[in-house]
Amino acid sequence: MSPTSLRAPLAAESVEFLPLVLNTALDAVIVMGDDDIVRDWNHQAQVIFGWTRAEAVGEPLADLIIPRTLREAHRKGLERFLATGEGPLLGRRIEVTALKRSGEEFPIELSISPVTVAGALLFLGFVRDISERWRHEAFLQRQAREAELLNRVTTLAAETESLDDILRLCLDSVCELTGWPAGHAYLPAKGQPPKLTPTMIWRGDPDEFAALRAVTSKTTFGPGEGLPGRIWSTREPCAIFEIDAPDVFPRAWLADDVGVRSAFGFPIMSGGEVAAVLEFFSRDAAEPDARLMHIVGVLGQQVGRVLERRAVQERQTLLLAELDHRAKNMLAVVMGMADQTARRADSLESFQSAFSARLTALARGYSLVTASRWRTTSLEEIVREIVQPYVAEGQARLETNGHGVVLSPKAALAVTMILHELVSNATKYGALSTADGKIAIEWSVSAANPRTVGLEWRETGLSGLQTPTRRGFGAKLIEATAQRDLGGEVEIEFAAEGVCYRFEFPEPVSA
Amino acid sequence: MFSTQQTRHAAPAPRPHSHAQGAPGAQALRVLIVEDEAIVAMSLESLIEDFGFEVCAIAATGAEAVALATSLRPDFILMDVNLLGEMDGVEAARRARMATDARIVFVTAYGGGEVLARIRASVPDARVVAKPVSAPALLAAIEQMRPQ
Repeated sequence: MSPTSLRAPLAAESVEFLPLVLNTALDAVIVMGDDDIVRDWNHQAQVIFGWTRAEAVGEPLADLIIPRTLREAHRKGLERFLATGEGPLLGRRIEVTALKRSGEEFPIELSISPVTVAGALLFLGFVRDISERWRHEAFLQRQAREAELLNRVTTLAAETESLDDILRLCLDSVCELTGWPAGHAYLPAKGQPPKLTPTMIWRGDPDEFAALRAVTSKTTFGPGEGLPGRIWSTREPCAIFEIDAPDVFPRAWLADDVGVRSAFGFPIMSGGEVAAVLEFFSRDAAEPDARLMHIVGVLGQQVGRVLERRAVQERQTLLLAELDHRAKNMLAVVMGMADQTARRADSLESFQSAFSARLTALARGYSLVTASRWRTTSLEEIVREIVQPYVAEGQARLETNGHGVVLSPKAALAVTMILHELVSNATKYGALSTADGKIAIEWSVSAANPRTVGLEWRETGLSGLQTPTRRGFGAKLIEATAQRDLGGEVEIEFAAEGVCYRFEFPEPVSA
Repeated sequence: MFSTQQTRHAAPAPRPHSHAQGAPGAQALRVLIVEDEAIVAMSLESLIEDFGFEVCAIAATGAEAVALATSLRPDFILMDVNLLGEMDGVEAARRARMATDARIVFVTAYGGGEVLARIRASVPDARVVAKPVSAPALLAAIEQMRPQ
């Protein structure tokens, strides 16, 4: 539409309808002359702007509805139109800020049409209050910003290596979202009594809150103490506005002027525990709304879940490394066993038989230890598993007596190998090699501190047994295992009717 | 009965070997084995003797290893990382290195970076041989560090 056509004269019959249009329009309609004076003003205009028709008509429009800062632009625009016929705002809908009678500024949608009535230039302004729409849009934008922030923080947190960097990310993001200028992180410290200690990981201008930073660097909080302590105890976001009350914000009393009027904070929750407390500060008396507190609470939980996932991954990595270590250690034991058995075997057959017997015993030992989930294994179970299979006659030839001895995995494997060597020797040369031989196994744990396990293996029913002139491999392995693997001692007594081994070793308290 | 002092007692007494060969004209290298798995220790002992060196003692704990290294002054220490008792092999090696000139060869099933990093930090000139041990790898590690 050209400027000239904008100024097209209104037909006489149309002019007659103008009051009717004004009175029935759902929009506010304002009629202004080329001198900026209001010529007419309908009821909707009164509803929106607060001025009655009687008050408005005859007054300069700029004084009534245009904010002071925009009046000069309004005046120049009118002058330009009158001089050139050009009006970029005319003939279309625009969104501008307007002024109410109360002084409140608010957004309106405005369309202006210049008309000529009986040779006089008039401007018809049609106005809608779009405050509600703007509020709604602002709310949607905020929702989108919050969702984007939650998404960004959790994504970045998952890619971030250190806890410090995750805390920095959270501080930066929340300050960005809220417009609050400063934030800091507290971490729970191990030890008694439990304390929150400052990390001195800050967001914001170091000079702006220098006093707060200085006092924070020296301040720890117990559960329930100050803002961080309350967040720690309640595990919920918390905000404060009465910075001057010492029980509410103790740090305000530790410095002359910390330069803070409002604060809020929230916990980062991981595995049901508070992993960190983040706090934010403002120089103004600002009150975070319930929605913001909810959002930061959700942020704390989501970042906490990232930390939880990471902890699980770290545990899995450690577990795999431990598994690798145990597997290689076991292979080293098997290789050692093969090497030592081979060195003393006089034929391939004897190697095969001795090695597979040792390997089977070791495998049984591992089964017992695994069944106890690598915690503790009872000595009774080891005897049952390793010795009894060699004694088909059962109680008639094998007497066992003992209770209450439990062994760490390493000790259980060592005792397994010792009992295997003993029963294997007994089968070849000792009590189980004759019809009348018997074996008695007894074990107990002393009450003395440190507690000591005593284990006795006594063979009887032989006659004329000679003390060997040379220590065999079995005896050497038994001795070395008792000494090195169990950290104990063994005493061997050769009697004519059978051999007796007495072991003493410290009760294993851990793996 | 079993005080910490007595764990030393429990270990086999140092046994001087007279039959070790070593290089012609040179005195046999003396090796301290630190290993708490009896069968592995026995196997390492056999290997060292196969190489023609002398095993001067076998220790099962870190404290025992440091004491034996200080008193016996071995040329080499074959050191396991995971040991009985509170002191592990890395710390025992660090202390032994401060007290003696013994060269350290770690024999460990730990392939992870954390243990290797601790070894590098505590005993930078040590060699590391993976467990289960291959005889050529162990001999090569010893030969590389052998005093000229």
